[in-house]
Amino acid sequence: MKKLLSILLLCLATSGLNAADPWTHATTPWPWSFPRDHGSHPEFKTEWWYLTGNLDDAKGNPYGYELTFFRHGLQPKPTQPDSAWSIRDIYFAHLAITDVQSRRFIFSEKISRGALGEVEISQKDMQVRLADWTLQRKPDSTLQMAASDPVTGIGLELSATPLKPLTLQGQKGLSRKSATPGNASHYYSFTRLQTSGQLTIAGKKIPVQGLSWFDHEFSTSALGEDQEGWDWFCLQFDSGDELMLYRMRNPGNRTDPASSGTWIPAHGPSLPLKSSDFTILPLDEWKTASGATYPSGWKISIPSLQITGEVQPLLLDQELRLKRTSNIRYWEGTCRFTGTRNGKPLSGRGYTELTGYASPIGQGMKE
Amino acid sequence: MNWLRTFRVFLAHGGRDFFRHKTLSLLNLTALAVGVAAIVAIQTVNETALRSFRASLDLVAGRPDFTVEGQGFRLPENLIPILRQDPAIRELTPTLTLIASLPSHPGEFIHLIGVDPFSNTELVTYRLQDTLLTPADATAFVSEPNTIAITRPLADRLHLKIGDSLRAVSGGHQANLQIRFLLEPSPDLIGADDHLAIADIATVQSSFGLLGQIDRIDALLLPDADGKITSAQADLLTRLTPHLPANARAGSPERRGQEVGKMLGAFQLNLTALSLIALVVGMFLVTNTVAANVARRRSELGLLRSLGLDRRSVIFLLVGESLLLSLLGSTLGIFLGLQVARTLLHSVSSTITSHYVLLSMTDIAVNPWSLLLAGLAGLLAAGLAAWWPAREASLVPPVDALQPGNSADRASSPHSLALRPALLCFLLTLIFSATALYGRIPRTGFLAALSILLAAAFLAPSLGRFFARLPSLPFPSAILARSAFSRGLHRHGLAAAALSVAVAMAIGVTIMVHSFRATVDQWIGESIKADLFIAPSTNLIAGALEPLDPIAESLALATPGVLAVGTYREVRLFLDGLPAKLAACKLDVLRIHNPLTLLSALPGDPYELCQKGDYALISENFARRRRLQPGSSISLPTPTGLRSIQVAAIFRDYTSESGLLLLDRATYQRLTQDQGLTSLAIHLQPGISAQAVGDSLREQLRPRGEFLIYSQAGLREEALRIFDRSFAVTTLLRTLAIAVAALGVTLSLTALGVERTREIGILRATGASRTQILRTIMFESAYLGATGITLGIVTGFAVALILMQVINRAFFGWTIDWHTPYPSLIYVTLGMILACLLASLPPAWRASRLSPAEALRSE
Repeated sequence: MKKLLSILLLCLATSGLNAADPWTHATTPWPWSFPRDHGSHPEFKTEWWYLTGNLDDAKGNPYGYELTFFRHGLQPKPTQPDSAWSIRDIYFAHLAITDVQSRRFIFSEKISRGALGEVEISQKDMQVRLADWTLQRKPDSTLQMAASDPVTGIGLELSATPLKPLTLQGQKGLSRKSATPGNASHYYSFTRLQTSGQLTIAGKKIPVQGLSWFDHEFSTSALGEDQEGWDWFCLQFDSGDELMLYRMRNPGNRTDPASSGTWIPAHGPSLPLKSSDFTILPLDEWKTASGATYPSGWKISIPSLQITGEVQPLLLDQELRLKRTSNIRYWEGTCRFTGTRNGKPLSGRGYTELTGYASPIGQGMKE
Repeated sequence: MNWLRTFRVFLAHGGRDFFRHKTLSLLNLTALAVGVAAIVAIQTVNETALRSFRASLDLVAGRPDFTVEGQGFRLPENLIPILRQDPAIRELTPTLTLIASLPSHPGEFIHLIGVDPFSNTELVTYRLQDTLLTPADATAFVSEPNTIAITRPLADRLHLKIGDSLRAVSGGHQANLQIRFLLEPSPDLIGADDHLAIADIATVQSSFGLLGQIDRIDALLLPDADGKITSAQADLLTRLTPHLPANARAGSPERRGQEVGKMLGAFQLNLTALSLIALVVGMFLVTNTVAANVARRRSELGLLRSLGLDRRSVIFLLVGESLLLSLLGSTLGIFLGLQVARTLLHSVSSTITSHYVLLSMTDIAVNPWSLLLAGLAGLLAAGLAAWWPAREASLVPPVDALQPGNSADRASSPHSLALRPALLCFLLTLIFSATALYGRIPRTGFLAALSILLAAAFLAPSLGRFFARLPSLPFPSAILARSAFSRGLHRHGLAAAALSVAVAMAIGVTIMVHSFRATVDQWIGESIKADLFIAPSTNLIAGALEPLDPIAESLALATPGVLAVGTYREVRLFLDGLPAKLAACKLDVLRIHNPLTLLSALPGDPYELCQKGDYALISENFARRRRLQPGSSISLPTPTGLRSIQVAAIFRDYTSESGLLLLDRATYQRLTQDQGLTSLAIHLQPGISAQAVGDSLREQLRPRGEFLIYSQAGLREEALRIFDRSFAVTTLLRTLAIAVAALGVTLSLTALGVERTREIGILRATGASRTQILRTIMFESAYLGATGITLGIVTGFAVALILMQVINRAFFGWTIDWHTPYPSLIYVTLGMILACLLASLPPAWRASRLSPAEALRSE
């Protein structure tokens, strides 16, 4: 569950919630239809296509990557429809690569109003392009992505093939974020994609392969008004199972009861998890240069699944310090799980997302 | 030479003399201060102009690596996808600029820039702040329609605050803009135009009818392997050129700054040259004072020499004193100059706006380096000026120096020799004039002017001697004065030279401005024929950049009593690297109601040629600067491609410094696709009241915004007012020159008065009355004045000739008919005579008050 953009939502649309809200809200499960729903849903305010993955080069050195495309609707009907620069949505994309071996974390961002063909997002299938960053679903269901930034010297060209059918998160894909009805998103994932291709770091191309995780989520008002942020985990276990968990943080670091998760076993149907089904306890802290404190390392236990273990980041600093998106900062990084299930060792790799620690929700955007 | 000892002598003597002759020293100091002030003022104004322009440019475009800009006409926005695909470009952002008047704030305008806040993040140098001073991000800026950010100074001036709405009008389009942010330039952009306002590009396109158009694209490039971008720029230009419309100019943005520098170059060079002349006059004065100083302190210097001070130390002592004094003078001059710059700012910024680029300077930009340079120029001038008399003093044997008597006045330089340098200077004048006119080195025109002034300076002592040889008036005091003047020529010669240079400057500039004004006045009389003129209200302040509401034309045509409506459209562009104005008129109306003064033309009717084909009428200065004849062709970059235009005729015009290329309206619209209007000229049927039609039009146009509606007389007046404003600085510098000259006379006479104390004592002792002494000194000053002024007037005519026929021709190419401003010349002459007399009064009075006993104490 990635809802960085709901930060924007919260602040820009709070007023819009009261009056006749022109945007569609996620209140009931979506009538999913694919491949159409891989495409864009402009009637919702916010939408993203989110890829993270853990890859290894030929020598077995681990790498992590994140490639995300966001669409954020400003107004359902653009104010100057006659101008090519007329704005309905703004688009941004984030690219981050973690080189664990040389302890490097490099990120890049793009933002665009989509004028004059700078952005193309299909409403029929997953065909997303922002400038020269692309994400496309091929006829054989492989996701193909390409992005590069000559300034920071990073890039990727990967193709990711789903090893499992897609998973609808929450209740038939309706994922609640707070008690308020409508504060929810439509959300599905490909939890295990066999990935291969190449990463570019400092201009050097590195052939890699490994596993990716894909989320596609759209919503209009996901966050509760006083929610401070969230901790989100996706884990891919060597056993072939996956786990997604998120903890919405209410004031005082309390866990919102709407927090939830999904257990996707190697075979068979996925199992939704309620907030009462799991606990996430931070083990350590990491302080940024700017003075913010992130939790770092967690003890996760899911008694109903007899799972217990630790999630540890492979690199402490995996914070994206974005300049173009109103100085938003969040931590999105590769990590490793070690623990047990039913008393047997369970290990895996995954990604963790931490928001609301370094930049309060809506910093610079509150009006 | 023992430096340390010399320095101690210097310390002991230098200051003492200053305090002993306070008036002299103060005059000297003031003269130098005025000279330095003139330079500082002009440099500061010039720098402020360039800096203000650059800051305004940087504010919206930052410092890009590459810029594509539409000149004269806008660019199609669909160039952007082409540029985006180029591998060398890493960021690019468009801007769209217009001038809009604010009807609810008469006389005010905004220089509105449409930006894309999403693509310009790496380039912008401004910040948008809301009421809480929190910086806005791009999303907030575009989330509400018609959002605009204005500068804080403008908001304060118009009593606007965040949340207010602002009606803006441009080219017949109106927009109700909402002020939601204030524009804060980054600290290094002080001096950016406070009329700048920022809105989203979609708002500007859609509110002002500019869909699909942009003005420029600024890009950041990827450096090559060596981290440089110069080769990337060149390669990019090569790749892009085939895709760009003919009117697009692409390249490094420094070029833009250079072009503005070039554009303002002639204008600024003029001012700089004039300000340097003020310093040259100041130099004469310093030389004069030091010379007087040397004479006065002859015995003191003799004593020092006999006590063992060597020659070089004498030079060091005297030059050092002069430098010390000029240090004070230069410092004073710097402060004075900054004050003068402040007062000049407005007229200079208006002049630049009406002739070159939109500029609004609110405060001077002080460049410490220029101040230092001007101060050093003052020091250098004082040092050089002191060196010559100091060297002479050092050459006098101590014995001679200590010998009492009038040997101090023994002429040290044979005056006949001065004729040779004068002749040489005159020859140089001719050579420099020739190189300026025919050698395509316009700057040498200023050297020609300087040479003729120097020639006059060299001639001054000879002319003085000539005057002294003429029979004098039959009064004892006149006879005494004549002989004193003759003996004092070594000093009077310098004062007369300074005076003649100042008078020549004053007369030359007076004749030039007068002739120019008379020529323009006459031309205005011939060429402003229409009864009414309509233009957007910003024309006066923003320089004809806001297009006129097209409704004005149809309203005018529909108004009863209107015989014909002439249209005028003007855009500024660069042709072959030189600035120019491209204009379009309805030539059929012009031909019948307001024919141009044609100087030469192709056979046949030039108007008809222009109406039928790709022919143009060009202004005289345009033709001269580009060496064009009827029949020559010009490559005109237009949005529809590079068009070859043939010159049908050359006409006289004084509206544009950069020159005018005039097309028929239909041809212009066909070639440029530009339907815009700049102003209208309305011709009425006989007997119809212009006042009534003007009032009716004003009433009909009122809801559409703010307009300037002039009667014929009103426009003529306005045209002359703009002319006068353009020469405001010149006139001020002329006044400064006269002031420096008057100071020079006072200085010279005071020096002589002090020097001749003993002689006056003898005269008094032998029975001369106070009045006789007073008269003698005043007669002496009359000799001095007559020499300087006569020479000055004659040289002044030569200077005027050089200004009009050499400098003007080389830089501007205008025809200026010679009009001698007899009354002004008489005023200037009388003024100078009066200044001489007034200047002679204090020293004469002081001399006459001397008690013989005290004066003779030295005997």
